[in-house]
Amino acid sequence: MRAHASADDRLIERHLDGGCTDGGFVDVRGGRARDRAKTFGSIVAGLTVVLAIWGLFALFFNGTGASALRFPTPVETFARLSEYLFEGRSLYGQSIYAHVGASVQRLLVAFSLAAAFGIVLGSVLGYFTRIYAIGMAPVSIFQMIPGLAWLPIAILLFGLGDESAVFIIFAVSSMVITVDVAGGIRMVPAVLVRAAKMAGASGPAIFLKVLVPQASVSIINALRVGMSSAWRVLIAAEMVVGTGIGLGYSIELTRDLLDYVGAFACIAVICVIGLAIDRVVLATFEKAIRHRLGLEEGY
Amino acid sequence: MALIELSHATKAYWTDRSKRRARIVLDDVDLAIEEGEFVCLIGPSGCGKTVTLNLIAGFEQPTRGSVRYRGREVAGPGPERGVVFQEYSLLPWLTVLENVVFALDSCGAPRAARRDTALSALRAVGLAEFADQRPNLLSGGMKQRVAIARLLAMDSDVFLMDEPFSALDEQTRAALDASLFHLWRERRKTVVFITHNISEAVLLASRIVLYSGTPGSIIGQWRVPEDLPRDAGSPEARRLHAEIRDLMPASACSFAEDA
Repeated sequence: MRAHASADDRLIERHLDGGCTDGGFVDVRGGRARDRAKTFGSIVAGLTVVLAIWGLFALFFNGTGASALRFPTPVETFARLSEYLFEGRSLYGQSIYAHVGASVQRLLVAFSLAAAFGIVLGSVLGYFTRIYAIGMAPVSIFQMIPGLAWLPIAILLFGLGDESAVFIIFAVSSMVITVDVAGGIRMVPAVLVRAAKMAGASGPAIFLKVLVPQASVSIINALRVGMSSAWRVLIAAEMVVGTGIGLGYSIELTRDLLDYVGAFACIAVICVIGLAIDRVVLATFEKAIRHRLGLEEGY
Repeated sequence: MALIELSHATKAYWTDRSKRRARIVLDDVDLAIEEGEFVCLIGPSGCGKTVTLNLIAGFEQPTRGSVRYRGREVAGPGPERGVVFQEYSLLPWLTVLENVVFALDSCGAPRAARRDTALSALRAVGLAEFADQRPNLLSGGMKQRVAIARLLAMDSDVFLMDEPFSALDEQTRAALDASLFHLWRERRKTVVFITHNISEAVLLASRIVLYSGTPGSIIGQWRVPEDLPRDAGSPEARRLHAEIRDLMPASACSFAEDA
């Protein structure tokens, strides 16, 4: 049996003697740190695989001589990136920080609007069955529209520039969030609502104290999905609405100038920021909420 | 006038989305429950026991007939008719104590006394020392005890219990049955208790109501004297058990072919 004990069991066992026990609880030191190390290891392994495939493909492509242009290798890309980041090399007239700042600012404005809109509309649709039936049709239709298809309308309403990009991001992200929030509210077990009704809770109290907390994991997930679609649409929108600054705009210029290394450097930045927002900000938030909801057994 | 009165209560549900056929699950049920009774509803699964309970609780309205509580038509759920659900129904992000306090909040109990009321209700079910734990650290039996404490705290007049202990192991169930019976003797609340277990009904009830298979209707009732020796070995309990078993319809879920 010992051979099958999990790493967690072995760790706890080490602390059973000597650790201070208190009514069946035992203080275990280092458990959390080890978990973190394991997570970090997995992330590094995953990234290594991606870099290896990319590097091998670049070597192969450049070896065949199929094109007069070179496919950027990881080494070239990261060398260029470090020039942008640390040596002040300009990326089409602006520092890379200015580009990132402009993109992130657009993202935050559009995403905040989309999150507020999506959470409110999604909650209403999820709570009122009758409105759900009516409201889901238009929401599903809007959701079908690809982000860039909004381009003519965006330019009609706001002209070229920032507001158009924000509008396009909002149009896509808000619908994604609405659908997922409504789904989360509707998935709350009926017995919890009945128990609250039995005790005499009012409609607003049930909504705020039962449905929203119980659905909060779904709501955070809706925000995660909404954020990732917002981020993807942002880059695409910047490429077409003539914002004049931003990561998407920079990639658009690299295409015109055949500067593929620059394009890859921008893509690397996009990946890192996207990953950071999702893994660091939203995932931490989700974990805290799952813990608060008592969904994470044992810790 | 009885405390709870179902007269000609009938409930039907649509069987298809086109709403051309309906299935009757509860067929013309007359049932009067007096204050202080411990009524066990027993019968095969799908016979309308839970529907009966939901009608009394006010979660559903009868298709035909009426359900009255203290002479007035039941329009919706309320704290005077407390429910212990078959599934666990505690809010997982609140502690045990907060769950009970939430119920007191909802039913409008005086603010100042809520904490004390909740604690004394938890004490009554033997869970005072778990007041600050989250439900996910509690066993199934403990969760159902908290659900009972919730009704004690709200001081519900009627305890509607839908197979509350059916998901628990045999020993826990036996212990909780005994505690519930003790509690009922002490406080004389009106209890409507659903079970599919004849022994449990014989052990607890002051009246046993037997339902037929679908569509559910009442096919037998027994009054159980309070001083009846109820342990499974006693001849009186055995006779009652056998009598009910002989009348109990075969379950709709059995493998036997339709006769």
